[in-house]
Amino acid sequence: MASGHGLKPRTVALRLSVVALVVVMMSGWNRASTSAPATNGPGVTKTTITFGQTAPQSGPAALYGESTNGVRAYFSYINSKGGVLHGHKLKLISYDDMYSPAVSVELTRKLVDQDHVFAEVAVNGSATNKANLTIQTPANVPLIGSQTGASFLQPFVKNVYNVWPAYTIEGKLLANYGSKKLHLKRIGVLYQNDDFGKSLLQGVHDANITTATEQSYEPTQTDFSPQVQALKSKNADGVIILAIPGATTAFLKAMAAVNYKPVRLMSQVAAIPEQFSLSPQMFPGSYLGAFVPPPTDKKNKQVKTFLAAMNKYEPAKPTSVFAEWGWMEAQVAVAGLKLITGSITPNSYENALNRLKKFHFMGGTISYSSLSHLGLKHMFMEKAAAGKLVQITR
Amino acid sequence: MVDFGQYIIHGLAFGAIYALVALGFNLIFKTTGVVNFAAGAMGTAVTMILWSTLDRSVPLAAAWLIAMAAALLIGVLTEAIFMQRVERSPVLIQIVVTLGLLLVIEGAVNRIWGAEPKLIPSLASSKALAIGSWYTSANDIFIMALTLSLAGVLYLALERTRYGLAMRAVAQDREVAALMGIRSFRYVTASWAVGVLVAGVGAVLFVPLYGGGLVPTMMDNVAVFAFAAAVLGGFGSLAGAVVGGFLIGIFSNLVGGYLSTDLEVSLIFLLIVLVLYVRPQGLFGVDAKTRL
Amino acid sequence: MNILLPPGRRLERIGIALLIVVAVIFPKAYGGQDYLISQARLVMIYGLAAVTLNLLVGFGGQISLGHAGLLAIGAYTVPVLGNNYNWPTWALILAAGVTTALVGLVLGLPTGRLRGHYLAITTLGFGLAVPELALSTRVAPLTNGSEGLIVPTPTIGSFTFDSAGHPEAFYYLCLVVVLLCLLAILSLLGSSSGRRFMAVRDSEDAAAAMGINTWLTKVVLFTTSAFFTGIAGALLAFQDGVIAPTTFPFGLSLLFLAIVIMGGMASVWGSIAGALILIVVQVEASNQPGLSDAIIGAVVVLILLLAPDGLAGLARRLWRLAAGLGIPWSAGVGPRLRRQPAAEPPEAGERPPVEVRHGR
Repeated sequence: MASGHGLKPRTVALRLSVVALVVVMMSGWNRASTSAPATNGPGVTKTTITFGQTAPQSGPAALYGESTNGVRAYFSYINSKGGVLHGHKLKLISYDDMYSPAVSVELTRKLVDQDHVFAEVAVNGSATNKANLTIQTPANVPLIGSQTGASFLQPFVKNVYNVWPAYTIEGKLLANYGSKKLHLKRIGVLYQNDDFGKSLLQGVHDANITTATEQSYEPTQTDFSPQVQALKSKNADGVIILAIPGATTAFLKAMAAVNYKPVRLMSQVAAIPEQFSLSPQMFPGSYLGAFVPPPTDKKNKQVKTFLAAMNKYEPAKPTSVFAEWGWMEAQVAVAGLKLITGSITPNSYENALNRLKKFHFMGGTISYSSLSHLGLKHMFMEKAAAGKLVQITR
Repeated sequence: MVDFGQYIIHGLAFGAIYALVALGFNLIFKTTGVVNFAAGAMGTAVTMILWSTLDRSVPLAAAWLIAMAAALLIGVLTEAIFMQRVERSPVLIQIVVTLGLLLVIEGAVNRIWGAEPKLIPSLASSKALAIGSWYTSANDIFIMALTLSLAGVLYLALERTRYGLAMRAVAQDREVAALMGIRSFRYVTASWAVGVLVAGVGAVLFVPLYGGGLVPTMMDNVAVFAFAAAVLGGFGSLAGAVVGGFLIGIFSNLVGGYLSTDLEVSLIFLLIVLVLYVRPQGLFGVDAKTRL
Repeated sequence: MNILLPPGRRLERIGIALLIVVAVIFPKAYGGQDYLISQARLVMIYGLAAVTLNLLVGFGGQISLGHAGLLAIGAYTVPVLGNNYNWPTWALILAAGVTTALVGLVLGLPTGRLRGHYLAITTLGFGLAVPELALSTRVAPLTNGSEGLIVPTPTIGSFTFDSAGHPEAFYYLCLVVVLLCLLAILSLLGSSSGRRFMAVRDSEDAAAAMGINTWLTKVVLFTTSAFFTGIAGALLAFQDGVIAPTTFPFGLSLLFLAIVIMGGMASVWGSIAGALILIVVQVEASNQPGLSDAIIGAVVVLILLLAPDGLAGLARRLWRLAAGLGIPWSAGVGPRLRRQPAAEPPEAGERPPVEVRHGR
């Protein structure tokens, strides 16, 4: 890069950066003067309570970001009924963390330090949640519904309230159903090589079955023939698929390509409606673990409310199981809010949540105490029939 | 032994896709000396456009035509708006521009079409066909045949036609070609257009092949393997792109099958380093000193 | 102090001195605003990482698309050693540098023979392979796979410097480490080794003719750059508190490249300035869900389009435009700008006016 005449790039860059510095400092001064502590906690004004969220909206895990729509729909639904705690309306600030803990922790810092959120809801990911805790716990930011069943959050972290069942529960359910109900003898496992997959695998081990083989895969993988070959060569008559939707579909295709059709048991995470059109051969007849009713189950009252709200407040956004996650986590968050007595602070919120008992919501029933913040303890099985998911156990 | 054969067969089908994408940017590289790092993302965008037309009940053939036209347009626009401005800049600048375009295109695709997986029909049947104890499908064979045919057509066009001759002249030395009366600019634009077209074909064929549905990040992994194929085969060489693509497809499948799928990228990287150590210009590449 | 401030126009020296002064008083001016202080720390850390890349690319004439991979090695060294052995913080930082240097050495050996796009893709492969390895089941006992590793809090004696609990103290720790590294790098560049790097960059054949062992020089270049990258990686680990494979995506390598190009190749302070600009862009872009990567890509492309010869060309055009529009003070500056190149000797590290081009 010839510099030739005129200013050198370094000089220009330096001048620009001084300008940028001045801009940053000026905007910084402004913010310093407007942060006003109140008798209520941060993120609370006379008329609003603000929640924060970080979730992936882009990249390979972008589907999980659909939970934001579910949270927003529920907040709009509650606001339309007058809000909580004498008319406080709920607000959500959500950032795209691209599934990276480095990005997520900076965004959490932003939520806490600049946006002054009252609490967080529906934060996605294991490594991301782990990183965010380093900010949330010292600052005592309550977190309701961290989207991970990972063990570092069980059974009790002071400011974190689990809604999801621990990952181990689903793995155990699938394994037991396969071996005891379906009488499968040589069960193979495909699991995602990350905390989600490995915790589910731990659940499978907890069921004390002997697996024919356990195959891991990478989240960005697109070619599954090696794993299929391995399962086929062990003559697995059933396979437990602990994978995200795209990977599940690709894996199913790879099985079809070699005419291999064992019984298929899947994690709830794979339960998106597109599966029926993407894998018309292999998806119907599969079994899935679940902790929310399928979004197509219009007979379920909770689902009906969810669908109506999504249609009204978040039209054209997908009504997927991920949106349901956001919805139900928001349900728990709001239930806790309603129990607050006195001033609205993080501490009074946590005390309120600890008093939450037998709360009925989309995921079933949940209770917290000052010793246990465990999420749902029960899951059920679904089967993929012609075009829809049907609940087959309670 | 059964496994080994199956890995090879499967590797060839995926390798055909890597070959197509590698063909696409080897073509661009041949005439302009630029590696189009955004090739994968452009392919995804083309496939999304195809999906949108199918979604409006346009028949498949017409939808393909529209998508291919879109691919040509993307190639032409990229060259005219972006690459022309930096054609005299150092290699690094050009690389970073295509990388920047990669981010922009992927972000735009994510915003416009969203992350839910979409279906693209295959052009041939995907039903499992048994050949002895191995499986393939009509679609697999079709993809491989299409790749070889496209490569053959491009080769013939470059070697046996006047236009091909002109393009090769532009590739060798743009200024001298211009002095000889060749409108270099046209051929540069044409190579970008065809390059993106070929990558687009690769992407569209990839969707039903891997089966996971069309998503914005679909081609990320493929692009890496395609780059590896281009390096292995030698930049600027059409034969190299094809051979490299098939080799990488087979190699990655064997690594995934016998070792572990989570080592594929690392071992491919190692393979590239080894090959380049022995032959810095790749298998079919021109000598490094004359083509940089 | 002279090392830090380059010879040359007074304006530049003032600018850099101002930058350092602002850096020193920043936490005091914004005490209590943890988020801003954290972003300022990121500017320093990314700035250092960009400088080390610049060492390789601008001063050494190499190409690297996998800088995030080297950063990852340095970053992972800290929790891997720190959680299993009770090493003091300074030792962890140094170990990160040494480990990454070793990897840089191994990487430099074969890639030193490569040029252009071959080098680009090889380094790209490296940058992708490192996080993948950290994620893989084989290496997971060491790196804890996708869940990542918690980084021990940095301490000196009994005083802790963690980024959440004592943001200002940690800020000053970063400042000291970064300034020390810059000092080392700048003095290296001024030495005979630095001149060897640049000789090889400008013309390998001419350098060889002068008796320089070009291959060895390149290996030393990779190793040295990697050493300081490792230190930047260690600081990043302390800054984030938890590191995982997803901390080092390809987009990060691209960000560093963009910083280097924008700030000016072969300009150490330019890279720091570039980091400041792009971090501000990134902060603003993060308000757009799903588009922050795209916005950074767009900014990079725009800058490279409008100023393919660097920000200098852009500035030159802007000044000319202003002069043409008859704005008084710019007219005064304009003619002076045109006169300056003749009066000024080329800076150490700047390319000479006549370029030796390779091949095409």
